[in-house]
Amino acid sequence: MKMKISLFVLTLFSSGLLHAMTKEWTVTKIYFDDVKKNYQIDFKNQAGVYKAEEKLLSCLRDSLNSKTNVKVDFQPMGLKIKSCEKSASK
Amino acid sequence: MKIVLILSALLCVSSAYADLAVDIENKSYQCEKKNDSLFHCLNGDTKILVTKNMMGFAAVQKNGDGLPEMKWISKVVDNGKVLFELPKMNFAGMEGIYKAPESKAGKLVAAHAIVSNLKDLDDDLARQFISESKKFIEKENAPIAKVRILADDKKFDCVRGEDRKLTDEEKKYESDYNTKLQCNFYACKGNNGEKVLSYVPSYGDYSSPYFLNLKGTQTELRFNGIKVVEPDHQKEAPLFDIPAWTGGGYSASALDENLFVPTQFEKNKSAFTFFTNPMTAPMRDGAHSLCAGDNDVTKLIAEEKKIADSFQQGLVNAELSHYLTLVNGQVLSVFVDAKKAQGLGCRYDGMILSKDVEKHIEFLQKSKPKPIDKYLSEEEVQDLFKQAKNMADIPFGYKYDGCYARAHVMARRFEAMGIPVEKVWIKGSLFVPGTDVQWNYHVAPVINVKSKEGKIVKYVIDPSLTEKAVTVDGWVESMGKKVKGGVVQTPYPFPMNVANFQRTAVSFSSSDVYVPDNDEKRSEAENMALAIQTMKEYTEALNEKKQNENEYENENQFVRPDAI
Repeated sequence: MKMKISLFVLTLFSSGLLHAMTKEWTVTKIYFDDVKKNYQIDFKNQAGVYKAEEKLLSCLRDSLNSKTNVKVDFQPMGLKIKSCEKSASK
Repeated sequence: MKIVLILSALLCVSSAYADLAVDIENKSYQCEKKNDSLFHCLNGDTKILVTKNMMGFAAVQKNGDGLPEMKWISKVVDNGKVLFELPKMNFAGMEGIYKAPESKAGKLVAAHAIVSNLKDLDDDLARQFISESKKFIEKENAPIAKVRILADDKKFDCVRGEDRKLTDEEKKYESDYNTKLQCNFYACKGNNGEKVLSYVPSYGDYSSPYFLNLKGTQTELRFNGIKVVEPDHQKEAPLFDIPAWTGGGYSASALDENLFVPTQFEKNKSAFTFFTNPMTAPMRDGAHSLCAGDNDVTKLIAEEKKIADSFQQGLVNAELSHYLTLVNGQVLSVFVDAKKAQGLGCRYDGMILSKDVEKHIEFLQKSKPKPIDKYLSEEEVQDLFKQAKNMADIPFGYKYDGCYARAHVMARRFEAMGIPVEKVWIKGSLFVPGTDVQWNYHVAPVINVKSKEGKIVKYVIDPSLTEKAVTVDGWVESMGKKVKGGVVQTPYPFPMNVANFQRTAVSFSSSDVYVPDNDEKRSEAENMALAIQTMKEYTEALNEKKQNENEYENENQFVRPDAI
């Protein structure tokens, strides 16, 4: 039982250790999840709903308003966005 | 010797400042490069800190009160090379850099931004600015019990609501994000006796104040042209000063936003948009939950909730038309108010097409499902599902994203077996029950099946979601939906804003469509290359996760065999 619990905890923990993915995408929608206290982000053509904290909001909102790409790093498991910066490509 | 040393020291200082020029609010400064993302610039005796951030560059300098403040940077030139140039902006007819009216809230927002932007820098000047900003925040951050709101010739005297006791999790959130969770709603009385619910955000919060004159579906929303002041300190800078021209939108829309407002709410557009905006509605619920007690604020909040529900219900019941128009050279598919859609274009296949979309009729025809000349039996479709599930190169275990790539590869492989394929798309606010997987759309291949009774039924092959081939209804039911309204079938391309109207859309397309934008310039070979690359990346992510789990398992078995 102890083993199962520790494996479960370690599995959860290990998902955060995976390499981040980097993509250049355009934000199409931003909305707030009041339960999880994070922002949910839709990107053009991506089916998944990505998650971001408030500190990344100005960069993501800029992409939404200008309809241009931003460069985002995110965890592939859970789709949590780690960083966002202006992208050179449109 | 001494002269030579002094001269060379001077030369070193001047050369350090010589090649880097930063334009801050239309004034040019020579700067010293500490590293690629940190410069010190001289303004007389005072130093300006310039840092690179996610949006470009930002400067911090002390103002007349000795408080650090953020400055706009218009240009950074290093050795003749332009590293950054602020695009020309236009604010309500004012060209150049916009300066907001002075307010305490503005200063606190800047102080919070300085703390969060500079906190990771190993630099004495940055540490000094952080310390001074923190002192200012501590001094000014306390909530204000009474405020006065001035709008046109009206005056509202407001009393703040009671704070709810915070949970441990919320206290941690406050500390992690350097913020304050408190009741920011005020019950206000106007000079003509009107009762108004007002929101005045915590300082440092990026949101703006507003007030609602609660009159059912005729509720009046005001978020610009207002000043918030402390009743006893009216000579000081206002707490908030929101110019009349300030917009309240979160995104610039290429379409007339009026088209999305149902005709019944025409007279009250701003309140309708406010109560139904998918971004602000959940935030407002969260803000309400921080107020407690039986008082004027909680009574007004309860009234506001009832009004918000009636607006939301208005969305669910709104009569809509499916409208296609051209935006930035691409076809945009949306739901709009049915009455307002009349006269926007011609009718085609249950949709209304703007004139410029008519040129893309070939593209629309190509997206439509092709006539079917071959049907599988129920046994054959289940067998096909098993074959698909065994396609080892398709990462069905990676559910977070990539359905479009899996669907495209499966579809082309089924077609290579001589089986006609369509695709089914579902668009909305979707989730996979029992997981943390959320989608804004999902897609899978569809096979037409002839039952023993001769009935034609569409079956969906989606091993990432179901354990066998299922009917379209079964597939739709297997996903959770976070909207109040029902499921509607629409022609392809599905309306992108369907969730805003509290609905879910299901559409069928030909197998040629790869992703929703269906860029006509992308060839099939390019689509397939993208699909394979996407699957490869998600397979690697799954493998890496498995590898990590195995490593932990092995480690655990070695270290703690007694724990098994």
